[in-house]
Amino acid sequence: MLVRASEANVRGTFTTIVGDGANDYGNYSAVGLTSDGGPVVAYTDDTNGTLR
Amino acid sequence: MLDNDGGSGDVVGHHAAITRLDTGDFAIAYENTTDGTLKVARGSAGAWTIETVTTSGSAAGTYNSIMQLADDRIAVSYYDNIASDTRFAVREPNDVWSDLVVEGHSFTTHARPGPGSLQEYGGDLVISFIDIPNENVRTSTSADAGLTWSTSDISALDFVFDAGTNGTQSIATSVDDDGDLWIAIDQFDAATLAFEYAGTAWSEDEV
Repeated sequence: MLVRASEANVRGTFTTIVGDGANDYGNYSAVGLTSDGGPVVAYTDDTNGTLR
Repeated sequence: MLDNDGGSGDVVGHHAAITRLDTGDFAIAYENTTDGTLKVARGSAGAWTIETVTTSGSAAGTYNSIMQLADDRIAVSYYDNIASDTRFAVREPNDVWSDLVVEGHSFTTHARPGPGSLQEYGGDLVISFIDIPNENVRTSTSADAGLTWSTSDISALDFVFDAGTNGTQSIATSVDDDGDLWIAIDQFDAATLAFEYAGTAWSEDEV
């Protein structure tokens, strides 16, 4: 499961970005920002060995 | 899905690092763990161009950092996990990737960079990394756009090298709004450290 925290510390609110209870998402991830400030996440699906 | 290595069954995507290009597209550096190669994807959702940057080591493409340089080239610093080298790869204007050792095992046996390790500072390229066996944090600097590099110590670290836990120390680097260079070090068995360089000397704080 890949989650994001809305605060800069571990006590913040976490939101699930992607998670289906089956695939192992997000063991490796990287976050970028679009030109308008929106987040972009590249992450792994280690169940299928893919980058998403 | 961005990359499944053509359905080969290979494990891809580990050590992903991302940067936004001046076109608005993104570039992502990551590892094909099965092949031990460094790959870079360029594009945006649903339209990616994927290139294999290097097969120089049998475990290249870990601890990646990627950025677009001021001269528009896309560059990656990464760790060759077999040779224990910090390396620098850059996509030249002729669309060919060049790749060279920044800091090799002749100097240290584990020269490991990390997220954001590659930065531009004061017109130079800077790669920060941990010299794990020698328990130091160092930077390599290039004043000629990545052709040659020189290395200097920032500080001796507090952790005690243990071959059994040498994978646990990690480093992250960034530049703040004032243009100061920051390095954070997780030492695993000692304090987390933050180093700041404002143009004259490094300062050190425990986090």
